[in-house]
Amino acid sequence: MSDDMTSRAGRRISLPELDRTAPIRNGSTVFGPGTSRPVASPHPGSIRDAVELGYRVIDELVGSGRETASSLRPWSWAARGAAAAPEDLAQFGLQMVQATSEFMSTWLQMMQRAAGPASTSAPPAPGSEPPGPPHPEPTPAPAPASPERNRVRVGVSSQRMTHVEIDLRAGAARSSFVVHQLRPVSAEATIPPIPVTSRVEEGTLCVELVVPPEQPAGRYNACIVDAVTGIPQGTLSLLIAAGS
Amino acid sequence: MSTRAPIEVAIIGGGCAALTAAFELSRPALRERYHVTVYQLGWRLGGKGASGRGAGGRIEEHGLHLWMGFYDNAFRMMRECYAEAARDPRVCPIADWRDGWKPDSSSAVTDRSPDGDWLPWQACFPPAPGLPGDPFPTPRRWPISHYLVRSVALLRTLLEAAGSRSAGPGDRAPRPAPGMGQDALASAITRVLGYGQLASLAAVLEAMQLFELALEALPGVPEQMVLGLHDRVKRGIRGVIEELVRQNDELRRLWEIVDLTFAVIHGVIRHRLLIDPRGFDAIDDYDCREWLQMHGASERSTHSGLVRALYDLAFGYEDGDVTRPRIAAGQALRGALRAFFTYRGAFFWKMQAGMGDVVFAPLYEVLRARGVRFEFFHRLRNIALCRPEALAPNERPFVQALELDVQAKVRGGRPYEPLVTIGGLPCWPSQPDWSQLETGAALAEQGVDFESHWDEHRAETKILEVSRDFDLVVLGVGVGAVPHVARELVARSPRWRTMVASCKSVATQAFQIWMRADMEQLGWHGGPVNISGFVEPFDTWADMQQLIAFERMPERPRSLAYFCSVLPDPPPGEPREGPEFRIAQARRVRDNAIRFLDRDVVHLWPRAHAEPGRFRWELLVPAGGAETDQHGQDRFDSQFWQANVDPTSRYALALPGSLQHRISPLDTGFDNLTVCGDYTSCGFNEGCVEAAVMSGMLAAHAVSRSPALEDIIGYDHP
Repeated sequence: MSDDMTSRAGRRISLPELDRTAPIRNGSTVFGPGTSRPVASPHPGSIRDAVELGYRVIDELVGSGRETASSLRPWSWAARGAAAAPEDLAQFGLQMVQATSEFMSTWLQMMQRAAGPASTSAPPAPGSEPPGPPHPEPTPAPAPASPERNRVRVGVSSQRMTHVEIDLRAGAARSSFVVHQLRPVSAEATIPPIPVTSRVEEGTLCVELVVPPEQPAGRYNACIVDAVTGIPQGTLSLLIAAGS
Repeated sequence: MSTRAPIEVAIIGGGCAALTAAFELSRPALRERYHVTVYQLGWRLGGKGASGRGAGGRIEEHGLHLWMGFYDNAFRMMRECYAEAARDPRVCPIADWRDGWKPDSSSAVTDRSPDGDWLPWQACFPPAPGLPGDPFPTPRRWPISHYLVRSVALLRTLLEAAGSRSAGPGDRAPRPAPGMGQDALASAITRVLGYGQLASLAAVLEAMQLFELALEALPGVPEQMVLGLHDRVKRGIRGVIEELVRQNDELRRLWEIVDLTFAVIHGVIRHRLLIDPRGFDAIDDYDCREWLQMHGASERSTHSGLVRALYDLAFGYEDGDVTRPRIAAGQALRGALRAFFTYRGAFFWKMQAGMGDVVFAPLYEVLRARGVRFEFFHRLRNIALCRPEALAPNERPFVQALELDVQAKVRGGRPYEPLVTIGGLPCWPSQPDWSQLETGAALAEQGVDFESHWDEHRAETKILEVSRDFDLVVLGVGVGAVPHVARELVARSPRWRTMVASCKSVATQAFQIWMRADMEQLGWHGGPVNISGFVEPFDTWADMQQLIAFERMPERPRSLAYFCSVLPDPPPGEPREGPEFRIAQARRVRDNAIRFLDRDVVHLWPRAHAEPGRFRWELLVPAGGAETDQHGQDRFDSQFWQANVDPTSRYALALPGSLQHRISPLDTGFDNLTVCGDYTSCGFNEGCVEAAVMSGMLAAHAVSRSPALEDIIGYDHP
């Protein structure tokens, strides 16, 4: 210590040279071992549980919400002097259905991504450079490594320009796919979903959809699931351009 | 054993940061490598944390001080200090650190009700594992993703609370039956509503659980996907909750927290704070409220009591103007997340006597026992730099001399003995012990105020020369004093110039009242509490009744309340300097306090008023014990109030756009000088005890490379 503290005259003392003069705030601290559970590589069981939970939400809670909302609709509440409460309640139930199903749609996509190869990268080593910026937009998963590639045929009927992306998980079973309704990413409560017809013909997933003329522009997503197991297998994404 | 002569370190100032530096540099492990001298203005240590004992042994504080459960560095030092002091519990009532601090989990904010009343909202923070200052088994890390997960878990807890309030668990949607009567129908409607709410909340709660899992999966999940998910969940919850909160204040407040937490999560992801090497500093150019609104928080939430408390606790009002609330978003978030999610033991820890008694007296004892020298009554006038032409090539500028005023000389050249003992407890008095000073009686007669920046009295001047009287300097004065004592540094260094120009400070005001009625009798039924976000001019109140037992007032008060807030700077054109200014500001605080007690305190203490607009002044217990002939508002003169307007007493603000200009103790640009204080760049850039202690540790590291930076808890916090 004294070496670097000796002055030019041999008498005056200088502050020592330091190894660093600022906090280290790169990935080693951000993603460091302080977290109690794995960060970048979610536990497979967690994902499975989450997906199962997701379907339970869809099946039970959303279903019961829809039932509640629909059961209220025929009622003539105004005649009972109950002000606007019944309408609020009906709207309430619809909102719940909408919000939850939209949430689930995205959630399933995300779990699918999380379970994919991109999520298994190790956190940065201590002292290493911080990771690069994340993708600004979700990017399709890499093509399956299996030599038996999934074949997909999509038919779109639309008066406007559309762009379709299919993102199937690596190793997805090809025999029995079901595609859910396409739901808007914007999550406006008034935007209806777009029905999707799907079937598997000789190992090819055939998807057909009709975009109504009045359908608002924007991005719509649908989850592709295995018809037997209910396990999500991919995402169908539709972009409807604005304009006529 | 080293035979080298010790390095002489001159520490200027005796506040938390400066004494932490002294504590570190005088550690036995350093084998007396450093010989430390502390030069202190006036008669007592403590800086902005100083307190004194006045008439009747009552505690008179510089302001209101609450320690938080995440002050790990500060608590660790004080625990070591108490262990080393080894006070005898049979003699001293505060012999162990656990005697000095007691956990306090009750906190509150206040909100305006629709009809204009101020409504307190109390929260009880559950005890957290461990105690502040406990060692960590492994080096502490601070992943932001961990905070996100904790935030979502908090949301779930709050939503569950909301659900439990909105509907009973056994509620089910009834089916309408023919012939149902109107009352039965109304009842059915209510139950259906309850069911709908509960069902919706249940769905949302499931969603929240999934959201937690998603956050744990970061960064493996594409950012846009998480943001999209977040937006959906938020919209879903907003629709559900806003319906619920319309008629219910408590639920409305819960929703405000939910709304704010969502904004934080959204902003953290949107600004990519998870991977930004600057951590939360990356958003320090934004004002906190502005940043929250940018990420979807509602106007109502960002002006809620919770957010106002964030500003109040940090005195975050530029120039003391309450219409200009400003605090850097990154530091505000860092502080809030650490406060809410990393506290140990309790959210707050309340000192059981004055801060001077609990903190600075034992520090003084230990440091003195270690051989640290204290020079009281020393005022730094100027830090003189070497002449530029005298520097060798590539040599950094260095401090040539320290120019000080000796405010008073101690009789017989002895060391000044600063402490008094009250009830077995070593304490600092509110006035110097004039009897120890040369011409002390005359000085007292003159009304010399050694702590006033504008009191020019001095017995002599003293010049300390480098290499003769000191080797290294630790500048530990408050931020407001830097331009006055470091003029040459500011003139020589552009960095220092920028720091002085951008790192602003604010004056503060405080008052304490001792009362004959307890809080229940005053109409407050919430138990001992700390409240922020209240009305100006005093937005923060703490019930400090625990101190009464340590005072020796002839008439024992039944309650003791502390209030504090910012003190606005005078309007442009009015004097801001000089002894008259100081007196005028003290008078202003008195007037503010009287007006506050007459007008505002009734919102907290409904029975404190004799009639609308008039405080029951007869409640006040006079200081000396004897009943005075003062009546009405004049009785307030027997209480204690404080205008902290001296430059070194001003509080360092964390203004947006300013924090990057703070000077680090590790890199001042001068060859033999480091700096410390809660205005420095120390990893927690907000004025508080913890920041001061961290800064003091950094200053010690700059001098000795000890402690290791990894041992400064939170220094590497994002």
